[in-house]
Amino acid sequence: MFRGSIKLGTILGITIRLDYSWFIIFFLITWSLSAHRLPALYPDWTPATYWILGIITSILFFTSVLIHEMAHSLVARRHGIPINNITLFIFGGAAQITQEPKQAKDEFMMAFAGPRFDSSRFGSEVFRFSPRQADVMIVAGTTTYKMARVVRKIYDQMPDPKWVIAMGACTSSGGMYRTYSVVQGIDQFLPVDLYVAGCPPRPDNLLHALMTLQQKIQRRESKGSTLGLVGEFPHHKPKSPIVA
Amino acid sequence: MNVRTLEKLNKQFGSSVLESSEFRGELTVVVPADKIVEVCRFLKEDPDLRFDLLADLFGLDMYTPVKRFGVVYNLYSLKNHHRIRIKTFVEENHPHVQTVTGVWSTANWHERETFDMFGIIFDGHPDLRRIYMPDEFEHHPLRKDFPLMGIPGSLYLPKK
Amino acid sequence: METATHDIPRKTRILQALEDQNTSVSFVDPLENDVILNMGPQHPATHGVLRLLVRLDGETVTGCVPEVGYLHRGYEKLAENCTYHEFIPHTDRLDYLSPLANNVAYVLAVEKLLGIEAPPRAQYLRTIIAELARISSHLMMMGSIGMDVGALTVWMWTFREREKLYDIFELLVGARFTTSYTRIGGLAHDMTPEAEKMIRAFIDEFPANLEESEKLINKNRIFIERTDGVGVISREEAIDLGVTGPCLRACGVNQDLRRTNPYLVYDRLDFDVAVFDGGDSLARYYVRLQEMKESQKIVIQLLDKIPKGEIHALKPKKVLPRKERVYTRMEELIHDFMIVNFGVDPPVGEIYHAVEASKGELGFYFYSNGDGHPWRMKIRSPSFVNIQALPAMLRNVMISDVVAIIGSLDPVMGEADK
Repeated sequence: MFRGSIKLGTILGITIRLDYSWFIIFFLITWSLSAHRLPALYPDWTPATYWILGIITSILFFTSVLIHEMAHSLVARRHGIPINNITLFIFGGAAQITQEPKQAKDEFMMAFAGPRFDSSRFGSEVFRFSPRQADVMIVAGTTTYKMARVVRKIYDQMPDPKWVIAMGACTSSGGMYRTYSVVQGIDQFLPVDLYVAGCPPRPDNLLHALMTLQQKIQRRESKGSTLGLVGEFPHHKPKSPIVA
Repeated sequence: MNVRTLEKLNKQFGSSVLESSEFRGELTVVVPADKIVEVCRFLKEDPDLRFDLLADLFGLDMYTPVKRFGVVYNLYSLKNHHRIRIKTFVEENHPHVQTVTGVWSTANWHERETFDMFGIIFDGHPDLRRIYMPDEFEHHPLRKDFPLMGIPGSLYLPKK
Repeated sequence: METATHDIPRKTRILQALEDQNTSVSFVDPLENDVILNMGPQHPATHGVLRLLVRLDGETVTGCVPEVGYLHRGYEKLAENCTYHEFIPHTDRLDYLSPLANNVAYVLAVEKLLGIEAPPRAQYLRTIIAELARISSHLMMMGSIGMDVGALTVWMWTFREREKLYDIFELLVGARFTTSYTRIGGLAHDMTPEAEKMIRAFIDEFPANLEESEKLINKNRIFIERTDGVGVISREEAIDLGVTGPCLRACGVNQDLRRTNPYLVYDRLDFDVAVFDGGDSLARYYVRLQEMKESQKIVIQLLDKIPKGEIHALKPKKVLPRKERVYTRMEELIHDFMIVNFGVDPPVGEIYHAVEASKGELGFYFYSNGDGHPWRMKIRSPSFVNIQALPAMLRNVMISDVVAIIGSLDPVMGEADK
């Protein structure tokens, strides 16, 4: 991918290369710092000082990019994907792999090795508010009869396989609201896989619930779909192309 | 301030002020249901009293055979930083009160809530329909004869 | 059907092609008529389960009908079946972003009914927690209005501050979030020295942390253009619609219950009321920002002035006695039994007491007939009335401004739906 590049050295067995286009971005950043930003902030230095400081800052900046790419590479290695080299180019840095990841899970994990939300460490992506792209529906908060209709509609819109987590005491059983308008547990109209206790549950409680659900699915204890176990689609017959 | 308000009300409306009481520094005045709009308009527009903020409007179920439902108006004056409470009572078989949305627009949703919870009908209201319960719900929850757990089958629940 | 095709105008033919034998509504051409958009109860940008039916002419909003009630839990009926003490945990869940403020408001109302007063140390502590709850709620508003217009970093940073507040609450009260800290006649337990140190540490570094988040959006061109002049409501309209709290103070009305009808120890404190002109979303944001700074000043004054002493009033028939006395003395045991099972002993009468919660005027009305549980309890929730002002604010704005306006109004559905 990077045809013209200079080799800098090797760290931990990974070759570090500098693409020729990197020099453009290095020059641009140094120039904007030295000719514009630093003079605006500190007006009474010599031009030489501006340029020296600009160069040092740019080098430090790209060193941090390098460390970022190293983090990606090390995680990839731990998952058994060999990393060839890291190249710094005009848009920053890129780690190159030679082999396709063994599972989609690893590619996923590699991409989110940098500073990210907690839940992504457990394989769960950022929360999606659209039911069509979701696997798990977490029903949080008290469900009233008026809202039950809406929740059921959203559940029906999710594609198979789908799982439901009932978060909190109010969704599990009506909680402290034994009144005329609160549904006494959402399992009256939805199939629920996991109940999380607490009013409200602590965040660690919910993360534990997510992990428990993953284990439950792995042990084949939870059918997420009406078709059968996860990964098996007995009614699906591969179609052959229409031959004219 | 309470004394002054009561004097002005008595002077203006005389026999319409059915009873008044004071408890913990708050003045409560009971007026008949057909005079409620005039009393409210007077209280809002009088240059000295100026009760221009309707803080709250709600119903009250006394569960007595006569004059069962009450409607309570909580008024606040931004100028004098003073409160007053106006009450009016209606019968169970004719729960009609004139609406005060012409005096304060905020009464719109409050009256809808009172209708939803008690079944008190506000004549002249621009849009009287339920606000908390679904539209097809047939009972009025805050009445004393409605059970806390509700009536089974009165609300629709989707099938599992 | 085919014979008269050339007579029917083209756009009707397009719409006819959309119909089939299962059609039960009649279509109108969307290009020529207004469209009704349902921003349903399940929506990432309406704070909570609020449903908005918006009528659009292209992208301009010509009308809007909010629908509430998706979180109606029947609080008022529940209160008629609970004693006054048993209802305190329910008040946490009203405005669930500042639960301590609701606890304080409820207990003040009950104490007004009973005619008792908490001792001075309890009053000061209640004021401290009410102001901390106000800071927590306004931080949430700042974060969510940033998130609504697209600035996610602000949300992350204000949530860092809120996590620090949650740690303080956990140390002080025992729970992060559903606190139930106040009791009739005082508080559940006293503030420990560690908690005081933690509050002081938080409050001392709060202005610097707030300024970090402020710098991100206060002068940001995108934020200002999305909120300046958007969602304007005039002063007379705001008073007529019953709006209270920061939304009213953003229209130029100098109304703050802490100043006009003081409760707790606010009459002995030195603070300014934040009032801005304009009535638009930016003014509402600025009012809350300024209120956070004032709250910080208030908490510092309180921490310096707080007296030592009891935190339970000594009124045997109305206030729950301390547990160590309950287990060792006869009279306190009897009083504890009577109060827990039959409720406090209120007189016959009705009262209304309102405090300045973070969203507006939060008021509790009690009608008591001498029983241990109230005959009627009404919660005057500020969010319920503020949402009623939404159609007035949404006149002639674009559909994308709807989200920013709801964010600046900051409704909480737990409070609005009771």
